[in-house]
Amino acid sequence: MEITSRDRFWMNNKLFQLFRFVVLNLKILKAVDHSKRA
Amino acid sequence: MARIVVVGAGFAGHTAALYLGDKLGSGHTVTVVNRSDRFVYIPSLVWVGIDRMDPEKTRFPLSDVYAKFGIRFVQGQVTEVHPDEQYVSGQTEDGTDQDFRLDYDYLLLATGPKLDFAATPGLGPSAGNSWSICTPPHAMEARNHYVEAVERMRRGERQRLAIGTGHGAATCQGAALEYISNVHKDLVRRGVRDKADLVYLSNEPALGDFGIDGLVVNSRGKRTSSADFIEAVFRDYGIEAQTGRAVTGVEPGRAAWEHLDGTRGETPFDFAMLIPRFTGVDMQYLDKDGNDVSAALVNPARLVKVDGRYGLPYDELRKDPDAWPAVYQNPTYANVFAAGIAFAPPGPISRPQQTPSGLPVAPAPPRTGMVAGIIGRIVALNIVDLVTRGRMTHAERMTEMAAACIASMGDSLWDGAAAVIMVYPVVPDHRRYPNEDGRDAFVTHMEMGLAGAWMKRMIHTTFMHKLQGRIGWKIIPE
Repeated sequence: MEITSRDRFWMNNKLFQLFRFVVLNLKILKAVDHSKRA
Repeated sequence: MARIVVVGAGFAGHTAALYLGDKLGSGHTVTVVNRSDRFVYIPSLVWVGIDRMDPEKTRFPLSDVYAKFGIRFVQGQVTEVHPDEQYVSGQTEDGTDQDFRLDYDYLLLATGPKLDFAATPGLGPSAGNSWSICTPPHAMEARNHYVEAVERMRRGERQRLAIGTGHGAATCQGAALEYISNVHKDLVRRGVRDKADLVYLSNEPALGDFGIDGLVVNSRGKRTSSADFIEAVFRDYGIEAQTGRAVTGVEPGRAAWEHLDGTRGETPFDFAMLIPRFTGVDMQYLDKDGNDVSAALVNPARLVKVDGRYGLPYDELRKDPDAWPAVYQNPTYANVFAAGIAFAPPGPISRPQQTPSGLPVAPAPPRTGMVAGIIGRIVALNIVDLVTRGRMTHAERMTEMAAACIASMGDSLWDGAAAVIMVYPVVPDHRRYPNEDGRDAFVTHMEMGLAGAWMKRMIHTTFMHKLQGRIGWKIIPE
């Protein structure tokens, strides 16, 4: 695996990162949803 | 009226105290004993260690929070636990140095770790050879020495910075990874990166192990391991990785180690931040006649035994998710619980290995941060259950628990980055997830980007809000 210049572009593209921010939060919420019901 | 004593006010103890204070009301007594009068948000100490955050931003006074919840607070150290007579005793550390005794009906031991620098000769701030970021004073000391190294670089001197773990059985590799990534970014920002050699020295068998046997994610149609991911990051950052090494001693300017393959060597450095082994804190466990009953309560590393199945061989433990504790209750003394680093896991998550000379190179399971907070909540809710209805209704094993490690790689909200590493569950459960990895493929994930830096800052802010018991604290996940 290599971090390419294309990867670097997307890693700092604000709009794409906003989308990833939402996705990452959804992932965390899915995991803690189970925990909150424990 | 029930009397509950919580020993320790880190992630586990403090979270538990908030739930206990919130749910039990004034008819019961909740008392928290902690050596410091302030809560410390330890994950942000990586930023203190590179002089990018004021240590005060990582702390807040506990007594103000506890006053809101009707919780008693004792600043002091518990030195003795008397499980038969149901009391703990110790000395205050608020300047009065008085002996205290606290009777309990339920006891939660959430002491956090003893930083066992002594297990590695020459390791740690007191020996003066290497530094740590495990406590605010340690992080400030590390920061001062790091800034001195930066000054030497500015004068044109080349510096070698070694960051990682200082013992074969150390844990918390995520913090070391985060620190070295932040050091890289900080040196770039200060314009001296070309004067520094960065070395990551770790007991992990491979990069990205983190004491959880690593993780594998499906990304763009192919499987990527955490080892590949972290290797790519290190290549990009120009960081040299030295894994599979148990540090055996630290002297001024060099760390001696033994590798898994039996080779011995040294890593020279001008600055080193090496995390020690964590053990349980030194407390005496005594029966009513003053006899030592620690065998019933703690393992040889002084970690509290709970409802896990101990002593299983690694391969059996791996197949049996039910061997991991569910309610964190001591099997001998049913009113004694443990949470966070203080509880003894039934075994390692990563396959334990040793050098040909028998030196263990076995990263311990991480039980800090999110895991500690969740266990603190589970124990608190069960104590509330026991007080109000006589039986426990909450359970969560580490085979059912998620964890997120957001390794900051530059804190700027404009051009910073962080590696977001999420695992669910922390301990693979091949029964529930019959895939190769035993983990949920949607949640288990890693990526690097600006969104991670936003997540890291958001988590710092929301956790500080939650842990101060401010409005809406309960809806913020641990």
